[in-house]
Amino acid sequence: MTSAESNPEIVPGEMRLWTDRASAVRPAAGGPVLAPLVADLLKQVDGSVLVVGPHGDEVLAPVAARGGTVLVRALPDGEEIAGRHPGLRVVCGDLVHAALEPFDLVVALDGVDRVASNDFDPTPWRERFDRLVSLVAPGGVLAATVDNPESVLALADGRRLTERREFGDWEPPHDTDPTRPRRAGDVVAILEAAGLSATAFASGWVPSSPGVIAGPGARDDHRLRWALTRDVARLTGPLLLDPRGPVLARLADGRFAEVSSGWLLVAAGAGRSLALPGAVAAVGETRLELSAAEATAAPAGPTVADAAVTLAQAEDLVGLRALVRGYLTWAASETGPRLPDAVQVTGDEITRVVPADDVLAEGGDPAAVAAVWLARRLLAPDVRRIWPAWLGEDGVARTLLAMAGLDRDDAALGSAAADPVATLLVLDDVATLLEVNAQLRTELTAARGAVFAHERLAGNRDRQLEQRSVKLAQAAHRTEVAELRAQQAEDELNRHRRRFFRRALRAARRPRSSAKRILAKLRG
Amino acid sequence: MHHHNHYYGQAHILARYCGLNDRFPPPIPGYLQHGWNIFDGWNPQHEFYDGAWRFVWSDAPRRRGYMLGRREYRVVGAPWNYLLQMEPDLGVVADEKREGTLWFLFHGWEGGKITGQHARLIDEIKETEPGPVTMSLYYTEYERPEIRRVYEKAGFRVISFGKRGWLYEDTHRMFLYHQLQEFRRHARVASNRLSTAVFYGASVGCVPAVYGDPMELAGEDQAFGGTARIARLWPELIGKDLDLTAAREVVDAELGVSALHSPEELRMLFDWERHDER
Repeated sequence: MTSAESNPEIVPGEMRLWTDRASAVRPAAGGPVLAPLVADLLKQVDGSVLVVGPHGDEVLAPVAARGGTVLVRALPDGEEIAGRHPGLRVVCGDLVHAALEPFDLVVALDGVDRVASNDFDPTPWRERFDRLVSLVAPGGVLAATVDNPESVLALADGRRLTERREFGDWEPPHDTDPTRPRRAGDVVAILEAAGLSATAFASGWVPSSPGVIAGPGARDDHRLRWALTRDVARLTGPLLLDPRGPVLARLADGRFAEVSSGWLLVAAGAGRSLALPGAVAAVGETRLELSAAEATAAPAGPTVADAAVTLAQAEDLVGLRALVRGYLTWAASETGPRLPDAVQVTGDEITRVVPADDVLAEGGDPAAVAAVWLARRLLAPDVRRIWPAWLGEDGVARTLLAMAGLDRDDAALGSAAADPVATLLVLDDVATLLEVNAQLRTELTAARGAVFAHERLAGNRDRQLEQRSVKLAQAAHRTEVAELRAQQAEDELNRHRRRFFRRALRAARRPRSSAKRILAKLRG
Repeated sequence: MHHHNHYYGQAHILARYCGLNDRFPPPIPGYLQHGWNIFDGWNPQHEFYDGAWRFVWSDAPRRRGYMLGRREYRVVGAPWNYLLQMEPDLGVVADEKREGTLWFLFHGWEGGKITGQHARLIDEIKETEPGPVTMSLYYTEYERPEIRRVYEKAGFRVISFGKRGWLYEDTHRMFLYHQLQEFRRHARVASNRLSTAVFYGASVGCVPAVYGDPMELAGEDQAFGGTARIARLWPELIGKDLDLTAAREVVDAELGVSALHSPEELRMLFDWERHDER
């Protein structure tokens, strides 16, 4: 069926005018967790390699270095891969209709949805998966992902149905396919029936390019929580709710796989054992690999962030004050990662649990940044607000610093708030927006109340001013009257004096007549 | 209604099926697939008005159209199927009296001519076909004497079913009726490319075959994959000696035999009910 002379070779069902690798809905499979895992499998498995479905160059490059085959359905993708990776034999067409021999290592990290061509009637998931499994040679290894149709993310997805299915919208909706597995155990059973011993990793958030994979029994390891909390930023499209809460709750009791976005299955044929990690997390430049023992161990204590939220929810200000005092005092003196969700609190002891790269800006103030981050966390929509609405982010940060006996001015807090390290990821999901809406309503009610109170205060003061003004006027009037009276009396006296002196002066000027007049008065 | 809907009198056939005037069929609110092709029933550059519905023969064209972002498809099956419903006896002859091959030369169209090795093709047809050959030329080739005479000199009966029409002019309303009559008296149908006529012929009992120089069509768009893709996707219909059961399954699927609508359903779908009489 294939033409060995051409690369890509075209087999029935090649899709022209189509690309999966450049899909806006779902990225090509790979990423910082899965690509190194494939590279590791390449070291452990000798022989031929087949990559099925759209994968990123980070997955294909190590396969090309060793030599292998890639099957994609989109011809433009096949041509691009053949051009970029000369070491690969590229086959373009439909998985079920491609005539391929078994391989020692089969990699299908995008699952088996984007391997079906629209040239053929839609095939059930199981038929495609069985075809994939049939391509694993005896004793070979399979690494494949499967989407979890019952994941929290599937429930939280706020996109319209047609938007979700851009990569195969000519097919019936996936929900109508009864062969699609609904539990990781279903897939493990299929593989075991085919003679493959399988390990199922729960993955989040993007099934074909997760930031976290966690093996069986993995539980609330702080590193996994830290990675899941941050990696959610890669999700595109509207969400109905923030999926982190319900997923982290399941992770806490070892049931992550029930609600994870998908599963990574690594399966090996009889007689082969593989060295696999217990869990892997990768966000940004940070990549963490946990052994199975580490991934399944219970943590010694909560993170500072979780502990603070718990205390705030309980309105335990005494406990919160003690925690914040201990934490911020520690953070002020530490170098390296110190954000509240990267450190653990056990009794009075604060220890670093995530080697996260939270390098502060030049001259950054670690205590102020930690306080701003924690303030943002405690003011997040999912936490009961324990401070008045007028105490904003900077006010709460300043309050937290004060709890630790630290004082920072506005400039220091402003710099800390602008530091990217202090960024807290809050999603714009519908549930969060409803919560924000409720908060804003509360704040609006409080603001209206404050306006009312201020208006009443101002009114009272106006009336008070009026009264005082009247009183002042009355007092002034009385004074004026008194002054006028006093003035009047003095004027009268002065007039009298002036009359007396005028007479006296006149008498002095005419002494003879004056003397006569005086004598006449005396006589008579 | 787009004038392509009138091609080969297909809108006329559906109007008759619905009990309406088939000389002046009412407009179809969208685009009716007028021939089999390897994509969604239309050429890559075909323009559709916004919100238009596309009435296609089978499900594969719908799926491929979705790939281009086109929506609003309805699988109604080929109008040919409706013609067969209405004309179960037209031109029927007893099986033992059917003879010869109705051979369709891959044809050009109003916008492009074909070029190829006709002499070599004639040799191959003579080597292959067991009985007399009727060579059907589309009018674009029929009206080119240099092509028509080559086949006439080869001893073939050369016919043309006429014009499919253009902008509602010169539409040969009985085009498919005549084709049906010819098929029903031939034992085989063949062509140098898998094409609509092969499906039609096979659907009424002609043994199909596809072989010979596929020829080149001026300006042919290879975006959909051309003859190589046809060979990959429909191998059951490529060759001189085919598995008839497998071939018939493919023919029925491509013509959308199972998608036949009742007259009532079709009238509702095309908005052909008389609103002013309710």
